[in-house]
Amino acid sequence: MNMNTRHVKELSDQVIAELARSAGIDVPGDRLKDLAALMRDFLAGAARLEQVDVADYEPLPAPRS
Amino acid sequence: MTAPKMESEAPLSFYSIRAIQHLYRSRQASPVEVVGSCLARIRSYDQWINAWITVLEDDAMDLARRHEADLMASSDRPSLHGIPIGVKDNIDTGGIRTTAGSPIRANHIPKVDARVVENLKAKGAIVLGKTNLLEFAYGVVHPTFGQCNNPWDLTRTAGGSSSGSAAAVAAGFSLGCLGTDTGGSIRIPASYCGVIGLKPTYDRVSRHGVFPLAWSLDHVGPIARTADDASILLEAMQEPTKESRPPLVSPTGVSALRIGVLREQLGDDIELDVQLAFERAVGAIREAGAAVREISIPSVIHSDEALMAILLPEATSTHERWLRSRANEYATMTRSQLELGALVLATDYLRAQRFRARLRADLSRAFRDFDLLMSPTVAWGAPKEDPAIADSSGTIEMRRSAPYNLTGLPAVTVPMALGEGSVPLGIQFVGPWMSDQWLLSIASQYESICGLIDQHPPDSILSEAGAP
Repeated sequence: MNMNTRHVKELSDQVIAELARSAGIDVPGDRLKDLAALMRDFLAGAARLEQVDVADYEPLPAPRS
Repeated sequence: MTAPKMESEAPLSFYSIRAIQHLYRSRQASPVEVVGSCLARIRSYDQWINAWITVLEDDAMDLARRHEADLMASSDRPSLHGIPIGVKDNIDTGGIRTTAGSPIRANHIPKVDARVVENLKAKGAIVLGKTNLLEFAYGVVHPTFGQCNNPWDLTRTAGGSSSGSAAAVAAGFSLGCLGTDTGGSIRIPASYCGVIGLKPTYDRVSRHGVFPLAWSLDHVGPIARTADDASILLEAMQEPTKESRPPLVSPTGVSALRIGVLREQLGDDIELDVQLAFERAVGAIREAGAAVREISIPSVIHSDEALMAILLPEATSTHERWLRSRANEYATMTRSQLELGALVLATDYLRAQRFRARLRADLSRAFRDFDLLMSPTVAWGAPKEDPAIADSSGTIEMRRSAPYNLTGLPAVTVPMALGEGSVPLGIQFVGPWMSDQWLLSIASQYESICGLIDQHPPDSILSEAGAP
């Protein structure tokens, strides 16, 4: 999958603020830039994880033997 | 009673649990002397280290006196009778403030002990106090509690999040401590402070009464001065039903071991002193007769991303209510990480959960050909400050420890060498599911091979810090 399909780079600070508000969290303007940077890093990582083939595995809710 | 002269002139608080057990049985030392020795060092030196949030001086001495009277009546006592320990301050202690390193819990006094504390007390352990940690064990120091400094170099961090527990053992404040580990929070500070830290097999030690960071990644385990001491502590703290299960073919000596070194964990993120120390360690282990071979498990490199996709939303799920009502009370970066967790898609979380099933299968296959896996514990020695979990350096810091939080496999860090700036570096051994005690016996043999057992920071570091 192409990383751009996640629109990581295009995601604006404002959109991230809206997403946070939709989750019930109000992010003050002076902290928004930092949160947005963290969010972009996270999404880039999530896009890398999409490259791994996990189709044959069921979600493991917690480690077990 | 007078303490005997042992192999060193170190204070009693630097003796191993095993040695103290022997001295109690032979009545050459008493709990009052040992607890007194720990408390004296805390009084003298903790102002420079900041390992403790709460010290239970009167309670610990009262209990030590009672334990001493019991010992005089009979030396046949439980394994930890009269052994002073520290408890990380996110683990409940009945009637004693348990802050989790955050002002949000500053006045929280649990009614009862966490199960793990209950188990240790039932074996006779004396709780000296509650140790410092990163806020909610989530990678950031809250200024109210301050950084726990490294006893080997006071200008550096002791590591996180079980910073106070590792520093307390290294500085001779306590014979052992409890820590918690969600991405490396026992092993990273233990590595930085030159002590043993075991992340047991998932669920082997009860999490009941431990403030959760991420329930499917959280582990509770011992920090100690020797692998043998960690084994004694684990035996006492685990649930009675959790028996050790050595590997199917379990060599008892290092010479018969087949050890795998994951190529993916030898990246260029490792600093030179760690790289050289690890090469020397591999050489010493080979010289002892073990077969050490590189292997590749490509999925391991994606552990970084999977950890974040699970850790972030699980942590936020715990804090959701406070995040809406008391957000200003968190340290800024803790708050940002919690906010970030609210933005993670359920599909990303579930993909990461599927990934951990794959990683577990990949590692299980590796254990058909190898008895254990080995790597540096962290890519570097103790830095000046703890990197935040969501920062790139925080990700690198957890890179070699987090795969085993995802899979639940037991992993132990053992002091490997002193690196740049004379601060300790750790080596990590990982074993199959429930092989914890066997793993610790191998760690104990490694200590003998490498001769770093029982090293502790020179008091001159602390004396100089206190000099006018």
